[in-house]
Amino acid sequence: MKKFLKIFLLSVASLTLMAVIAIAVVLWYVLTPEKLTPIVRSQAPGYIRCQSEIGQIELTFFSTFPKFALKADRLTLVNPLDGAPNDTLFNAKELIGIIDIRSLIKNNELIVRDFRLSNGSINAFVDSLGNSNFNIFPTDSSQPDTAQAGMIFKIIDIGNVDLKNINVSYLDQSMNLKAEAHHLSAGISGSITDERIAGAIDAKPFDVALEYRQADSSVLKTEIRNLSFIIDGSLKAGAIEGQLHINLADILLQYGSINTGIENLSMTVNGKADPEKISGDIRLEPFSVTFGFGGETYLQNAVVRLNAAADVNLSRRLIRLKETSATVNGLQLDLAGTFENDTLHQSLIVEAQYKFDSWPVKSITALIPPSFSSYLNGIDADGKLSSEGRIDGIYSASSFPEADLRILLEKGTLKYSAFPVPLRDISADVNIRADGKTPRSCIRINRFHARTPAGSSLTTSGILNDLFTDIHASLDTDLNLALPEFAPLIPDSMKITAKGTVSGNVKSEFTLSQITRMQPEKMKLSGSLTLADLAVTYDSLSLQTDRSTCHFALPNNNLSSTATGFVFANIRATTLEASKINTFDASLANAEITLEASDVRDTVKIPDIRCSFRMNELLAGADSIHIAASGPAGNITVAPRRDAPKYPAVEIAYSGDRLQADFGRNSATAGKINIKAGVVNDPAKKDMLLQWTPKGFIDMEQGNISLASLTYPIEIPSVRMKFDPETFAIETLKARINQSDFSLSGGLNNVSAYFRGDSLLKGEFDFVSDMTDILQIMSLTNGMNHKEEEKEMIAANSRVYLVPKGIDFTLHTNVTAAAYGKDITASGIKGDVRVHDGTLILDGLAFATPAAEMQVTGMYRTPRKNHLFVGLNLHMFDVEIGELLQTVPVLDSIMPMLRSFGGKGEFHVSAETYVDSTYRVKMSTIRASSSIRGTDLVLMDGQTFSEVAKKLRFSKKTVNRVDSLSAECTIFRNEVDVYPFLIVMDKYKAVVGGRHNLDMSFDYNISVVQSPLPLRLAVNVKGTPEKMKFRPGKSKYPDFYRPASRKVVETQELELRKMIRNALMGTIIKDQ
Amino acid sequence: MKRILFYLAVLAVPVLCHSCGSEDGAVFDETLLYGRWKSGTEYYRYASDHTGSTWNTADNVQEDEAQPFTWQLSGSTLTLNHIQEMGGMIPKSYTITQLTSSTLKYKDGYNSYAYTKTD
Repeated sequence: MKKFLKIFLLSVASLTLMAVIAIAVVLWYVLTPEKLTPIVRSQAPGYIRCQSEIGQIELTFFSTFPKFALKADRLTLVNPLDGAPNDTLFNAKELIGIIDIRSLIKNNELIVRDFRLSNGSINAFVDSLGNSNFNIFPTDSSQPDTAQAGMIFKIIDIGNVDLKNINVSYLDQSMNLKAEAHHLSAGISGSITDERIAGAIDAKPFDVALEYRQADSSVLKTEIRNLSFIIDGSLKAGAIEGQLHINLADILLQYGSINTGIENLSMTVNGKADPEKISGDIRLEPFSVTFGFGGETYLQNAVVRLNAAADVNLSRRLIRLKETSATVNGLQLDLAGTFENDTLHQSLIVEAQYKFDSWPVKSITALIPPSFSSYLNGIDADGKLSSEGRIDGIYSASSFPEADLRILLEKGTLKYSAFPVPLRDISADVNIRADGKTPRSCIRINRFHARTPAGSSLTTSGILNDLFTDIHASLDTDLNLALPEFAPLIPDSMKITAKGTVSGNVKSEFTLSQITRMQPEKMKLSGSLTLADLAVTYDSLSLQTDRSTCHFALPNNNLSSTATGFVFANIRATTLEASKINTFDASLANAEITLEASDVRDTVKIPDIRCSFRMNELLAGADSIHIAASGPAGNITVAPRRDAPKYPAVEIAYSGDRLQADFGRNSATAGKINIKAGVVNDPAKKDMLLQWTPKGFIDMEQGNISLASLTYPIEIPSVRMKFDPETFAIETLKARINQSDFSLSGGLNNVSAYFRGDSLLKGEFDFVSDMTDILQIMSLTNGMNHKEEEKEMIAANSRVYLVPKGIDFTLHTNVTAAAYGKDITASGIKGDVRVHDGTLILDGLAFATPAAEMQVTGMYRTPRKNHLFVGLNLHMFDVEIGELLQTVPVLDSIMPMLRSFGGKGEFHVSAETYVDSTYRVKMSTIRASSSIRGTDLVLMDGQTFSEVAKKLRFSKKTVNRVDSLSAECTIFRNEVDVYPFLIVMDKYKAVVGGRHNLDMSFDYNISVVQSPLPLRLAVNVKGTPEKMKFRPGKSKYPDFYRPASRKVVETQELELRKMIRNALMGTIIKDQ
Repeated sequence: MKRILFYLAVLAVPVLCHSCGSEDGAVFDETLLYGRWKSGTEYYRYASDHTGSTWNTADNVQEDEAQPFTWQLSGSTLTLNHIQEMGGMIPKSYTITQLTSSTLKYKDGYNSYAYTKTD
């Protein structure tokens, strides 16, 4: 075995040595450069048409072992062309080619097994006419002008092309394109056959510069550093298939105001293409991109990654993306779908889906360029944003594809300087459907929720339609607001503070234009809000409630009237307090208020308003006025008048239990009150009171009025009254003041005419009383409707009574008992009392006093404060004279003689005078006449009687008794004229007459007309009561009661007496 | 003695008094009454229709608040009927002693009155 091996090895070595020797002989002695170089140079023009310079050609074996190769130490191709920057097309210092000589010779196949080009340069040039300096290969004109015919060789098979340090320059003036590659080193392999071209390029890192100038002189400049790539592909029957892998360090691209920088790009492209279709996938490993436009940096070292698979239909200009995902700074977008450019209709047909998940909002906002970041000034937002959706349809000048998107936000936060309430826990689920048209475009808010640090929250859902015209919103919102959180929203200048919470649900439906135009009448708002522990202050106003709910609807769908369709509100409050410092305060307990209304903003039309209320308690106060109502309930209706729609009519119904009103030191209470009223308004009236004319009824029980000016309160057990603009019909009004009580029934007329100033306020009532204190009644009515200065006079002088003005009241009285002060009492009072515009008239008032049955017709008029008229027709029947003087003390001054009589008589007087404000009698105005009748009177003053009897020579047995007395007297100013009257005493008759002055001086004549004596004696009594003088005198009336012998004067006197008497008696009212 | 003197006096009085009333036959021109007359603060106005009014400024009463009366002049007897608002009247009868265009004097059984014309 060893021997065989030894022989074999020796044989191989010998053969190898012989082969080496043979090759060496061929290389060095047969095919030397001197022999090969002329052969190559002579053949070159057959293959290239330009000038060539070929250095020394040598055949190599050992350096290209185990293949033979031709090596040229220099190759230069020169092809000058006008405009070219360089005449040299190609230049290389060394060129080595291993060519299959046998295939080339036998089969005309160019098979380059190995091609090495080192330290060369290529200067390609295309002029503006499309002529190039690299079109140097001759064409066979005998062959048809086909691609195949263009080929010199049947097969070109490049096994290995190795380029080292090659600089390439390409200038295309027809395309304004300039490109340069420096230090290009690459390995190229491939083959070209009639059916197929296949190849691969492995380019080592090199630099590329590209400059492309467009027709508008804009320039695209690109610099690529350390570019390396691998291309492996084939072309067969017009179809290209292959793979491209690119690595590079930097790309700088500048185009106009666009600046782009890419770092560390690694891209792999697999695909195939034919004239109809391109398909493949592209994968970009994360690389850094900086992108600027117009001096603005839109991306700064953004990390971008892309995985895409796509088909391109070239004839349809359609791109179909499959499973494409792009990532920018970690924000991944998955995209799929088709994009077709419809050149016929100049539109883009899109059918695409996308999805991204949990994009941090901060990362999104970080992508916003600085020039747009101002829009986000003061905004600090975060959260996870996700979205998926599809876009289908045609994009053109006239149409927009339909987008159906869903956007999700979770764990969102938002701080906005202009909205001082930070939001957190923001979550949103929104569907957006838009096609640029209405009404299909919409945004459906499946859910939006946000909270605040203090616990406020807002949750809403709904839909927004008509996105591209007038956005229509339909929202369902739940809210829970802690008001202190929102206090910073209110300007400090408004001085508003708010505490408490507002929570509830609001359903809304409105359009954007309705909001901007403030058209609530076209919106739909409804819901329920609950106010808890609310305390709001605005300047000096405050509102508080521990818990209130408000149901509201706009418009009012549950309307009770067709006219109140604008708004509905129902408010229920456990407690509700409102106040204004130093002005008013009000509180409601367990209140329910329901309101319906038409559009109250319409200032042209009177609004329709219906309000009903019910509460356990109402407390209100303003200044010194305080009102407390228990169980008030009712409703208020405001509507245009049917007969005059431009004016309002108001209907009011009120019922309640206890009502108390305090006015300073005055107060009024009612145990139960029921009011139903209608009020018609006519703003055309000048006086505000006249503008409102009421109609309705009042039913009140257990009333009580306490006035500081009255010693005793006014109790009103019941009131039932109907009223209309002209009439107040009092069915019954019962009242009690201390010991006084009365019941009124009747009517009040001319009410509106009174307020118009056209008429007196007229009233006629039945006044029934068990007990009446007249002074109290006068106190109640004193000074009514008088001027302020006159009322001040009343305040200064409590004695004066000013009869009410502006009214004409008649009271048909039926009073069981009455008192005027402590000393004057009366009973059985019947008759009429009338108050007529400052005048008090007692019309035939009949009553009984302890002294007598009386009848009085009186007049008390107050034309001005210091000129008061008092007139009196007084009739006393069966009066005790002593009590008469006590009842009417002024009679003692007028007829002092009366004090001398005792016993009963009848007395009639008609007296009138003016008094001043202190009730001092104006003596010059006194007018009075009186008549007195009496029988069996006793002369009380025995001394006077004795003096008179002595002078008249009465018998000593004559007693001081007057059998009968009948006298008349008049008063004019201070003169009291006592008309001659007859006194019958025992056997004597005497006529007394004279004058009595109110200064108490007098001058009487007493004439005896009948006595036992034959003489007609007379006596004159003059002086004053303190100093009387009794002098015998002439009998003035000797024939006074002797008609036959009566003188003219005496007759006149009697006629006057008769006239006076008749006048007085004519004022007596019969049948009372 | 006193009784004798008394009877003599009584007998003398009618004789003495019978000679009174000398102005009863005088006649005065009533037109002289027309107009306003004054006595101190007291005023009277006589109108030609036999109405009149009276007031006293001392009592803070002016003419527009004056109280009415009717008057009648017969011979020398001037009768004033002061009208009461309450009904009725107060008759006053005077005997004129002097009536000129500027002076009016009259009297009753107790007092005398004098006025001057103020128109």
